[in-house]
Amino acid sequence: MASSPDLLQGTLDLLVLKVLALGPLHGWGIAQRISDISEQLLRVNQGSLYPALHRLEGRGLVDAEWTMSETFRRVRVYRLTPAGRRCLTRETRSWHEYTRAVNLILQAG
Amino acid sequence: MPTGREMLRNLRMLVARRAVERDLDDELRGHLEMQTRMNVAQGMTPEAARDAAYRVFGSMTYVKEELRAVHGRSTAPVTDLLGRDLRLAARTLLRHRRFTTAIVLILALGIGSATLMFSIVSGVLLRPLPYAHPERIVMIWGNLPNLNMGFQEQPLGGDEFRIMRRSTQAFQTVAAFQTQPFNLGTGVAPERVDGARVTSDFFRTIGVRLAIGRGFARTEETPGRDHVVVLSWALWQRRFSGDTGVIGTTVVLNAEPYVVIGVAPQTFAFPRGAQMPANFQFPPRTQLWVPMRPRQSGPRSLAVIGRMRPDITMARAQEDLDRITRIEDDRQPARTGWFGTRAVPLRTQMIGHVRTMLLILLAAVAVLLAIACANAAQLLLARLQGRRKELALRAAIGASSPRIVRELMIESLLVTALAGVLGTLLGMIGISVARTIGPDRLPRLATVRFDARVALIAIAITMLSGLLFSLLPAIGASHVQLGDALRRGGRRAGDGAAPSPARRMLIAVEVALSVVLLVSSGLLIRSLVHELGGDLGFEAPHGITFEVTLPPLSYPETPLATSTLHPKSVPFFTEALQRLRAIPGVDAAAIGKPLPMSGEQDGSSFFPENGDLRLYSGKQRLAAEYTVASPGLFHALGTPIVSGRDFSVVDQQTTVPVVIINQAMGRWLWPGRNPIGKRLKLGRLTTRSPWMTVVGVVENMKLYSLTQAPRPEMFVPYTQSPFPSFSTMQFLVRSSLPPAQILGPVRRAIASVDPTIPVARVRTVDQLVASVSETARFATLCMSLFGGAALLLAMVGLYGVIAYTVHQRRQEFGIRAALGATRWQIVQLVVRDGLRLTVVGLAAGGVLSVLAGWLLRPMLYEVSVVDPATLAGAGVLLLGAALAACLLPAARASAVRPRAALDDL
Repeated sequence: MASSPDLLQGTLDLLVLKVLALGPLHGWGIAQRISDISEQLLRVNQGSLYPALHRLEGRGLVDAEWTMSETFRRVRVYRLTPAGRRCLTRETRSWHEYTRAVNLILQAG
Repeated sequence: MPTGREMLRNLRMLVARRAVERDLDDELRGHLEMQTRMNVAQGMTPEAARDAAYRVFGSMTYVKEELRAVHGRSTAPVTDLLGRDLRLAARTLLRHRRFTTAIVLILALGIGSATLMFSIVSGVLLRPLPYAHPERIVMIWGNLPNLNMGFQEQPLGGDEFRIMRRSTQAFQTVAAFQTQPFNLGTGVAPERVDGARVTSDFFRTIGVRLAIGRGFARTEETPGRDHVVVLSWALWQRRFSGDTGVIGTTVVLNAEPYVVIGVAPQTFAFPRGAQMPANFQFPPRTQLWVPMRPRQSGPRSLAVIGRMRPDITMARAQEDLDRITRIEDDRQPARTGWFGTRAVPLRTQMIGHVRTMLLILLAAVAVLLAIACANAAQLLLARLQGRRKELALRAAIGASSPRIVRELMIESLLVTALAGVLGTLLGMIGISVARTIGPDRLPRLATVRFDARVALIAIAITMLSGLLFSLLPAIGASHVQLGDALRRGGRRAGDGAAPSPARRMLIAVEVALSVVLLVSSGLLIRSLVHELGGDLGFEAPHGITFEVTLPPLSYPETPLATSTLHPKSVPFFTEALQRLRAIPGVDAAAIGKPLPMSGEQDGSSFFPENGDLRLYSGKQRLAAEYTVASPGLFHALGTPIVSGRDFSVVDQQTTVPVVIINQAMGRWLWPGRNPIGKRLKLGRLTTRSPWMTVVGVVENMKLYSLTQAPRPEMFVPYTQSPFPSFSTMQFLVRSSLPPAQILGPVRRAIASVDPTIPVARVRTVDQLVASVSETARFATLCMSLFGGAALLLAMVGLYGVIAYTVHQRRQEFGIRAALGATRWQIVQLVVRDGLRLTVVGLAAGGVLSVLAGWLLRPMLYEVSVVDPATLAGAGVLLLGAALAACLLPAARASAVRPRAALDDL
């Protein structure tokens, strides 16, 4: 945990939206997926993940519903809403612009 | 008390909250389980897997707290927080019931009296008059500075009014009016009602729209067409049950038929006596209005109102009046001068005479409020000191300082709100009490009521006092010194916590302000005692006074200087006096117009023969109080005749005209000489009035006020009075029988002379005297109540501090007792402590009360601003109260046993 880079404020939201764009998932799955895709470079602090999920839900960017897991537990599954999808597109574009700008500066003479 | 519905809602909210919590739990637990299962799948033992999962997850509590914060944001956390604080505060206050009660009562007392006084001031002084554009209405008075009538507002004559009406440029309309009592109804025992004769523009000028019907037309000023009447709302309701069909019907006034053409709006009773100068003798409320044509000649008797044009200022209006004066002066050089005129805003006219009193009372109540706030603040400080340990402990375990301050503020707010509600209730009660006991001369008091404006005032006062009283303690609380308080609190509870300097200062301030109020009420009381105990120049005899009005149709008035004066009126009065005197139990009966203290005032200019020559410099005219009297008036009043004789049956129309003067007039006109036999005439030297011979000199009487300086007075027998207006006369019947018992025979006696003449305005002489001092008594009563409340508050405050100190110093007293101090020595110790505070406050209060006395000057009579007796009295009273407040704690201190020194160690 200590070695994982801190996620920039707001970046977590972007990652969650992106992961959910691939398909509905529960909280643990989202954390797992982020970790897998980033080849274990990024680890999501659970203390941030759930508040972020609930915040996104509050903003109407994700939907959540209770389903039954394969072990017959109640599981909360999150799903991207159309508004979330639009937000993802917008945020992705601005992320690219942002990183391009930072890279340009870092690569400067 | 929550209703069933509310309880249900609370329950539902509780259930909903539970559900949310369960969901959070499930979700997080699910997460851990999945993590654990993955760990197991990767080869860990179940225990290790779960531990690892938990480790990665971090603090479950923390995450849940965060999640709650996310949800909290959407479920109104502020009200939740406030609700919790309020509940907490309410619980704390309930736990300290005695403290809460004391502080609420103290603040409510202050808020209640302030609300009451502000309501009265707002209703009487601030609220606009209920007329259209009231700021444009002025009263126009005659102004002849040389003519010292004893009052400033001199009436105008008919011709003067007509010229003004014709040539004014600054006024839209002007109207003249004068009072006139009417006997309403026909046959035996008609009712006497108070009316006014007014010129046609009266209602237009004052700016009221009649409730029904119409006002007067100019043509209705003409005699013969002037038998129309506008009724007051009250009279219309009472006599005609509010029937709108009354318009066009005929009523009988003074035995003549009048056609009702209108009804005035509900509250309209202008002119009201309380709002007009006394010399116009207006009744308390005017009940009907009839048109009048301003007379060409005769005594000046008209009051005049004018409505300024919209763009005209007071100054411009006065310029216009002065212009008319100049033109008339130039046009009639032969005359001794046109009457100057002076415009006074109607508002000033109506309330000017009570303004000072009300503002002084307002200042007094502000002081009382300050005392109440100081008292509440010091109580709060005391309790704060008691709670130091608790607060310090809470600060130590993490309650933030703003949070503690907020809690204290909320407690204070709650207390203030309670006090505000209670105080407003007290104020409302006070308003209704003030309306019943308030003086008649306090205009518009009847219209003071609890309305939105007063509610706003009460809220403002409450907020102000809440701020005042809670600010200081809150500041104190934010400085609670952690370690210090804990250390002390830990070992020896509360030891050494002497009352804070702030608290001692508050007590001293309280005492000082109480001194101010006590001295103020003392000055007013002494002043009132002087007024009531002063020599009136007459006794207040047992018996009754009343008025009769003779209708001009059956008792025609005669023009000036005709052969027989009032051929029917004089015999009526003579006959009435005889029959009144014949009633068993009646000691004396007499006529006096006006009777002393009847609230009326009459004056006349005159010219003395062979008077002091220095009096005639310039155009000066001389004037004196003028009373029409019957033989026996002085006997009935108990006024000594100093020299000469009383009027007698000899003084008739046909005999030499006579006059009786008072000592002041004699000394003024003929200093050092005997006035008996000297002559004077009414008006000027050129006036066609008969010379009257002075036949008697009486002692100076106070005629219209208890505080008036002796003024020249003259008395003329009713059988010879040259004034044509003779229709209303006041009787004094002296009898040791109870007033109620004498009234029946008096009514029968008058009815036996003429059954159509009603007896009106029955009052005892005591009532007359009381009514004149009413305003002063009201002010004194209010001030004394404020002073008493202040004294009580100071006493309670002092007691609180001393009792607290004694409690804190128990150990010390125990040690002292153990070392051999006597009980008396310990009592002295405590009392000295209390008196030190009092003396500081007394000194400051003494200085302040000189300032207060200076402000009170206009209300003082024969009492100096710095009155040593009053100051000493207030000092002694406060010291006594302080002693009393110290005694109980001192007794408790002296009862401390030596063993107490060990108790808490």
